[in-house]
Amino acid sequence: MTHRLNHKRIRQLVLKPLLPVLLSLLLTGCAVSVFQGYKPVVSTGAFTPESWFWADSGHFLFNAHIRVFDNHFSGLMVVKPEATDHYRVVFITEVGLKVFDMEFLPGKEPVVHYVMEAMNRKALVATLKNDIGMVLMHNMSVIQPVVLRQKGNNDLILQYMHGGNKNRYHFRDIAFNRPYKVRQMSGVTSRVEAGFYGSMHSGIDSVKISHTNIKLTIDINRIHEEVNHADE
Amino acid sequence: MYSVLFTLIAITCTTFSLLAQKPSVPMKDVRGFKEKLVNMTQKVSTIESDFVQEKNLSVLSNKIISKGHFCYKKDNNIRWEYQQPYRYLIIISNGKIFVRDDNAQKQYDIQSNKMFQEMNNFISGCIQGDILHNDRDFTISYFEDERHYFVSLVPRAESMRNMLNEVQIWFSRTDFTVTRINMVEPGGDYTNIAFSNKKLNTDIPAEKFNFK
Repeated sequence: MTHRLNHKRIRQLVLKPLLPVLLSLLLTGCAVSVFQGYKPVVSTGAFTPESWFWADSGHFLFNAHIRVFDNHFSGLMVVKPEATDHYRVVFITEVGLKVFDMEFLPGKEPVVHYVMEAMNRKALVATLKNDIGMVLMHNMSVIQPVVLRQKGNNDLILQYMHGGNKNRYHFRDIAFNRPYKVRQMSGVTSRVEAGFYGSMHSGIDSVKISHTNIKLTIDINRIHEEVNHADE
Repeated sequence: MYSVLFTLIAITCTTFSLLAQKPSVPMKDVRGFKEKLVNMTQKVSTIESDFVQEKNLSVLSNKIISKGHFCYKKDNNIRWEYQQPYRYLIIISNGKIFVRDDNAQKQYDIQSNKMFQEMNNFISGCIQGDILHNDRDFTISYFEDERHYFVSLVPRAESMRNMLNEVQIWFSRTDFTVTRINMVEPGGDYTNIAFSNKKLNTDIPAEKFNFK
């Protein structure tokens, strides 16, 4: 009985007053603990990185490999920016058969126009929508990020709360206003990371996506076509 | 039985027009057409050809054009070597499929992967002509014009129709070789493969179909 009362008094005297403090630390301080040395700074819109897939650039053609568990899908991935934050993404095999066709509309959930039967698994399609949306930075412009900076380092990490329990961290190169890495974390162990490779001059060259909790990787490597896309 | 003949990849029709209309006149002598194909099949052991693949997606105003080299050797050895705008190699031989590009290479047992199995059956069936015997899965129609014999295959199963509305195969009237395959998807997107610079019965080394 005494033991019980002690616990109750401890909760009343110590934990209750501390609860708001702990909650605020959890909400605002997670990122600080995830990236050692990085602290929130005052955010302005100027910090927001741009998508590699900007809207006035015709289309992007990639050689793509999707490895999911023991299955391997390879082919061509077409990314077509239609307008601001509006993208069409089509994945076809080398011999031309369509594997999936997705549309990312501004302010809306991605629309799946087609998925080949062999790949049409609910969880896999949801993961692909998330991963591709993450790479495109779909619907990110409407979210105000927490901007994190490390002392003595000009590079920034932008923390976006996305889709409930997901945190997305965009690592922005200070000299080049595009992310060189995006990390999405949800829960304790679930992590998705996308690495971007490219340059200011040539634009995006390749993207590599990997997951920690499922055996899934997506690699896309840009194919530079000879045709002129100016008319698109 | 017709497999080799249908595999014959031709460009006897010189510069093949990808915009050519499909023949609409029903073929008068389907049996004669098939018999001639059999005769050709028996005479051919290897085929080499260049190919141009056009992928038309409604979301793009430009087609995605790929070019490469195709080899066939009796029995059922197929090599697709994509050379532009990227390098990619597919070899199908002895129940296995090998794929390689600049970044990766992998070998699969066709039987172990349902998707590969279906895709291989379909693609090789088109190239080798076996698909024309498949009355169970396709409604097959025969047409002709002055230059071509034309075969239309419409899938019967809904699951297949979700992927392809129609497969169209053009044959040269002069040598009965395949000159073009067009795969039309629901919604109108299509993949057109036109074959050219055909060489028959050349000595293709077996190494071309080895997985390295």
